[in-house]
Amino acid sequence: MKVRTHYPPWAAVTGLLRAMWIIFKYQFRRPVTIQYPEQRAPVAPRNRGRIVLTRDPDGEERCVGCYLCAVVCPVDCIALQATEDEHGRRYPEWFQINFSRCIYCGFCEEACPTYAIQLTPDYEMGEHQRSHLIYHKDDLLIDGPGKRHQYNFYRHAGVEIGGKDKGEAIAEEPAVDIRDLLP
Amino acid sequence: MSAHAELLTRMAVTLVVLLVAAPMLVWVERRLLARFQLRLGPNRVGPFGILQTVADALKLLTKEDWVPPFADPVPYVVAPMILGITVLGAFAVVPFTASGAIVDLDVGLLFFLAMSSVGVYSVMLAGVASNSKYAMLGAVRAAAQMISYELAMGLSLASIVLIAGSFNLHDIVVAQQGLPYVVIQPFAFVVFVIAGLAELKRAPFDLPEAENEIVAGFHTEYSSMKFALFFLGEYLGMILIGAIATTVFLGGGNGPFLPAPVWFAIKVGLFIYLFIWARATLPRFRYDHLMAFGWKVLLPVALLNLMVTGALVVARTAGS
Amino acid sequence: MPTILIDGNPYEVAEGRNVLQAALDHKLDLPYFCWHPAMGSVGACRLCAVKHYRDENDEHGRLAMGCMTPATEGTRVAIDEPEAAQFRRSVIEWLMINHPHDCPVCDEGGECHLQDMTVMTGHAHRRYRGRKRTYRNQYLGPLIHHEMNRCIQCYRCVRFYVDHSGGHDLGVFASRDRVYFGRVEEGALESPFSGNLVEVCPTGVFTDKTYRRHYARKWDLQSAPSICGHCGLGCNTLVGARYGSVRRVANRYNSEVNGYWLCDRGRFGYEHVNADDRLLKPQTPRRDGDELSVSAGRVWDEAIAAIRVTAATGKLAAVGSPRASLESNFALLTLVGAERFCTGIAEPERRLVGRFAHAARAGAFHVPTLQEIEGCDVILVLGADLTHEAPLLDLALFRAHAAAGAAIHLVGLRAGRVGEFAASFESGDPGSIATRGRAVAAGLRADGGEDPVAAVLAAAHCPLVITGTQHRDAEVLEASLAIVEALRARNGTHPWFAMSVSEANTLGVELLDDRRGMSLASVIDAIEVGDISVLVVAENDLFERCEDHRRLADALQRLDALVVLDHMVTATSSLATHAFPAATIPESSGTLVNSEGRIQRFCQVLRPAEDVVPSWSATRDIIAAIGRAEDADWQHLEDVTAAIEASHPAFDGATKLAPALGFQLEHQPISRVGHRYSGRNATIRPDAPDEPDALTEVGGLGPDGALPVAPRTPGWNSNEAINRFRIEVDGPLRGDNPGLRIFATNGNGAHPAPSPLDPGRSPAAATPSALDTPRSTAAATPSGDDDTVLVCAAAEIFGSESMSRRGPALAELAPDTYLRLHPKRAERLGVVEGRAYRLRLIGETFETSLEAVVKVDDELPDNVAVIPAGYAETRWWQQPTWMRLESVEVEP
Ligand code: SF4
Ligand code: SF4
Ligand code: SF4
Ligand code: SF4
Ligand code: FES
Repeated sequence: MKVRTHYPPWAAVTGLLRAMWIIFKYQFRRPVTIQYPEQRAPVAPRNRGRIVLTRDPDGEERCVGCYLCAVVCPVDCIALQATEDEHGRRYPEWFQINFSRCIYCGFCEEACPTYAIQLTPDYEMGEHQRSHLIYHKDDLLIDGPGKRHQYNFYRHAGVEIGGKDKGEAIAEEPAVDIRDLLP
Repeated sequence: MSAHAELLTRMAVTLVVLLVAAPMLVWVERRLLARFQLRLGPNRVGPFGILQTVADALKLLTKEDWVPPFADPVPYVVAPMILGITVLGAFAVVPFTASGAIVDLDVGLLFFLAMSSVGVYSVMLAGVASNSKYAMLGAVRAAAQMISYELAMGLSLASIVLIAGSFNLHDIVVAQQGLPYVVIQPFAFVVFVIAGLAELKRAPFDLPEAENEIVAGFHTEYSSMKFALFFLGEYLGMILIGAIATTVFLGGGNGPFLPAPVWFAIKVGLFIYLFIWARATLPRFRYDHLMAFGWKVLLPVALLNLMVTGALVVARTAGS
Repeated sequence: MPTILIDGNPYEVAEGRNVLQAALDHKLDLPYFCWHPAMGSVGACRLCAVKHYRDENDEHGRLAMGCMTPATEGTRVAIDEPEAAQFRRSVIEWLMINHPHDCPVCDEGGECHLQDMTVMTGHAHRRYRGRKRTYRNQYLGPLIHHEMNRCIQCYRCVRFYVDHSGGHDLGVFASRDRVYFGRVEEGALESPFSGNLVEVCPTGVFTDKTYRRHYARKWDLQSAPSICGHCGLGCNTLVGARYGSVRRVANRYNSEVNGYWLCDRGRFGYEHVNADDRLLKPQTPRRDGDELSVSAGRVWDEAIAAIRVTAATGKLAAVGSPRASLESNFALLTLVGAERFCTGIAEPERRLVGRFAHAARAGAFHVPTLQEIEGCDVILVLGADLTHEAPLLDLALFRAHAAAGAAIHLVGLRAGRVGEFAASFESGDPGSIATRGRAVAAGLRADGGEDPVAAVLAAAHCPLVITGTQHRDAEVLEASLAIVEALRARNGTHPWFAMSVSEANTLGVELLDDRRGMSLASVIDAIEVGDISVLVVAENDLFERCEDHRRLADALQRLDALVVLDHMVTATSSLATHAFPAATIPESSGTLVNSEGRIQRFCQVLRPAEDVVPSWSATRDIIAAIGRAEDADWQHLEDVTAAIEASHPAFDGATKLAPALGFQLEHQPISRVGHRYSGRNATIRPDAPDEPDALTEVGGLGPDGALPVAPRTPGWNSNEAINRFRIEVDGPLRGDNPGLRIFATNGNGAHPAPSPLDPGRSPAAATPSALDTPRSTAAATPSGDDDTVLVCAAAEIFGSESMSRRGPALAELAPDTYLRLHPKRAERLGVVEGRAYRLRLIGETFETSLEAVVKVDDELPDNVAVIPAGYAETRWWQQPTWMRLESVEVEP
């Protein structure tokens, strides 16, 4: 494409008039405004909005408190403390996201090895008090598996938890008998 | 009716009309701008959002009337008043009706020019008294710009005076019974409209309050009612420039069928529409372009136009 | 120095290195697993494969293990070579076939050497679709968690546990691809160094069980260089905190002190910082008990009023502490003046420490570092149980024995773990230990003579005598010094001598006081005669320092005011009229002197709770409040250190231990947290507020990495990153090891003129107290059939130290209170092994009672009864005492 660098002197005037004309015509176009809250913009199912913590298909908390979401978060708005139950299952003792800082980048979802943390299309999170934008585990944890219906981290991991002994995970041999001498 | 009573009535009516029109204009501008930009604009408060300005005015009125501690209080408070007074004062000579203006001044046009020149002081004072860098920068820009463009404006009007042979605006209107001056003096008209925009400090000449460079320019430190006065001044100024242009170039209230004030209002409305349209379209000037355009284009054109007009007028009077 | 070619570039390497070490010396990335800087190469993991070329004409080369290839002149290898790289990637891929999908729940994650190596080799995708092998875990006690699935069979654990540190109960079992690293049977690991498995294992098989309860990733830990406060050796530690609580303690490399290791007391003893029995608010225990009924301001005002009045009348005194920093002790000393200051060390021990410090400062002998001890060839341990008193000294002895074949001879009450590898052990009561020592000295003087120990000592190249303070017996120390003196006379060299002291700053506070102050006993005397009416005690429980608890309690009750600054609730703080919370070591900065005379700085790791301040700053505020602000014009810790330096030449250089106040690295103060620290903007819950803050008061990472905050460099997230902070592998840190030795050394052949042992100054206290008179252990030996025994205390690694035993994990490992007797003695007393008894112990000057389980031990001399030292029930014990036992069996 050839770029014009020299213009005739009247180009300033014609250009201006053309611009005025284009803008004039705009008056008769349909406004793009969506009359929220009566009307709503269509939101794609993968739109990144309010973050939830999901549960695995067995209804247990998916989050294992690995801190990967917290470390990947570019604005450092996730904090949690991992703990474990008496059978060795890790879960977050508390978990909080400061939505007044969150930029909905979705990195946390991407980093999460267990599909626990997921962004949902919900963007209606207005609050009158900033502190109400700090969501705690109660606010974040939902009852379903979110976008991933099947995945259950502990079915793949090698650690034993209540109800799953060594060797009972997917693609595991039963625990070896170390007294076995067979070659 | 005694002359005094009539004068008072005219003043009262003009004042009421203007003070209602100016806030309405805010709403009109916001709605129009929105349409130009494919939006809807304020449409929530009252029918079509028409009460939005009322809400805004109430908000401004109820805000704390605050003078920043670092400002010079007297000029700080006086500055917005000057703007209000000069703009409203200039309306005294505008012939809205067939019978003329509130005061039928023989130097009406000069009075208008004088008033708009005094208006510069308001901006300067506001900027200097605010004692803040952005306000100062805005004031400096405003002063330079208004002085530069006032010249062109005066010169463009001078050619009209030459033709009409009078500074009296009523006379000028009467003189246009046949042909509005816009036809005879297209250059003067264009120069006047452009210079008028610059006087108004409106886009594309809004450098004195360029918000992305100097926050809000000379009125950065103003809030509540004092800010509202500046705001009001700006919109009254729009009406004023529109009214003068109507008077001088479009034959004032002249027109068939409809009474003079209606014709006048329609013509003023057209100018206001033009101003808003220009704001929706044109980007802001760069400062050096602004100055170059004023001094190197507008002024020579106005000067040339004046000289040619003067020559023609001399030729015609000599010929008759 | 040989020059080798790596990837075509010449590199100079030190003599005797292998290719892997050479590569790491030059900061090249060569992956490895089984090689360890301290434990060497075994060539087991095959990860360090490089291409080895015969000579410059060899174009094909062959794969060789870097750790097994000596770096001799002209060696030509390639790391960045496709076949070698592919081989290394394949090694990881094979390991990953069975590696569990555990990283998110693995405590090693984020500092996992396996993760680092996987990334480094480039293995990213698991192609194997088969099943994974699994193992059952073992219960290994309250300290170590076992997760055997994660093992990559590098053998580092057993090499450390068995070969390097002399443990027995961890091994490798089973055959084929089933090899299993664990114990024969489940149960707590017995080695006092088991915690090092956490750091030695490159994967998450062995992880810290205490950390697990409040787990945080390494990148989230707020860390600072600290010093272990749980024994006198002053091991360098890296304490990690998060959300206002200490989460773990890890080793901080210092080649001269602890190397790569820590003992379990140091690693897991941190739990006391988070314990429930902390003193966290100013309170008035004597009046209100534990109730917090008075505002902090009131407590302060009352205490100040009391101190101000007494300071004017001269009836004020202060007791410092061997577990508090030099600065805190110095502040107290400034408050009351040198004559009214007491170190807070019980007199029997103080006498020993003073004698040792004086002789060491005079240069009578060389006090070796732990590293130097590893190089000795004959070591005589006289009257010390190093395993329990100074565990890392035990490890140093084992290293000397295992690596250099040193002969270790023990003369003591109990052998401890050292007995397992010692050449000889002679058991005896303190009196006979001293006698035995004298005999060795005599033997040495008599040219070896008949005495076998004297003979080996005489023949040694690098003999070392070690003693301890646990028997509080001056005779044992004198006998040791006699041996040292005999060695010097005999060999004409500067003899080496070490003494373990019981607390982190015992030596420091003794040098600070320099025997000018009062003894603890004279403090009690003075209180009784009304010469002291207000006493300030910092970080010390006087009930651990005094035999006669009844007398002590009466004396403390008599005081008009007893102001206690401490971080835990103790018997003393419970009698205080005013108690103020003090900061623990991780919560403050300060200086300590270890038993080797090394001054070391510990840096604040986390901000303590609201009212908690370091003792020095509380004391400074007291000094200011009583109108003597100019005496303590200290803003920062550095100012106090500078004041100490000015008034005590012994501590010259102490201010240079850490980067100066306001030190900046690249225009920023050194931060306690790394750039990955997460959750900064999450607005942490109000009950756990701890914003990360820059380490402004004293620096962390010195300009050369001498005080690394948390070693990590790109690509090396595990503790193996330490190699990047040293000039050469296994050498000192860049910028030298932190710490400053204040005793004259002959480290590099510089022999200060040996001076005869001078008996030291006698205590300057005006009125020597009756309690001060040393009790002879030998003199009063009663006739054999009497019920009277010499009651001695034995240090227990878990339980004897006052702070660490407050943590739940170590408390679980501490043995129950016992009374250990010779079988004959037990029989005469009519007590039976394993049963609990209520015992009355009646001494000459005082009596006490004790509930204990009787243990029978035929290695003990039959005139001795041993109780654990420093337990709540036995803390009255200060020195061996002849006591009559009466026992009543307690129904279980
Ligand atoms: S969406 Fe982005 S900003 Fe928000 S919590 Fe997740 S990682 Fe942080
Ligand atoms: S990344 Fe997922 S599993 Fe890990 S802490 Fe966050 S939500 Fe929990
Ligand atoms: S040992 Fe390392 S690689 Fe294995 S699960 Fe743990 S963190 Fe992951
Ligand atoms: S347990 Fe750890 S140190 Fe031991 S062999 Fe396995 S991976 Fe290596
Ligand atoms: S490090 Fe060389 S084979 Fe393991």
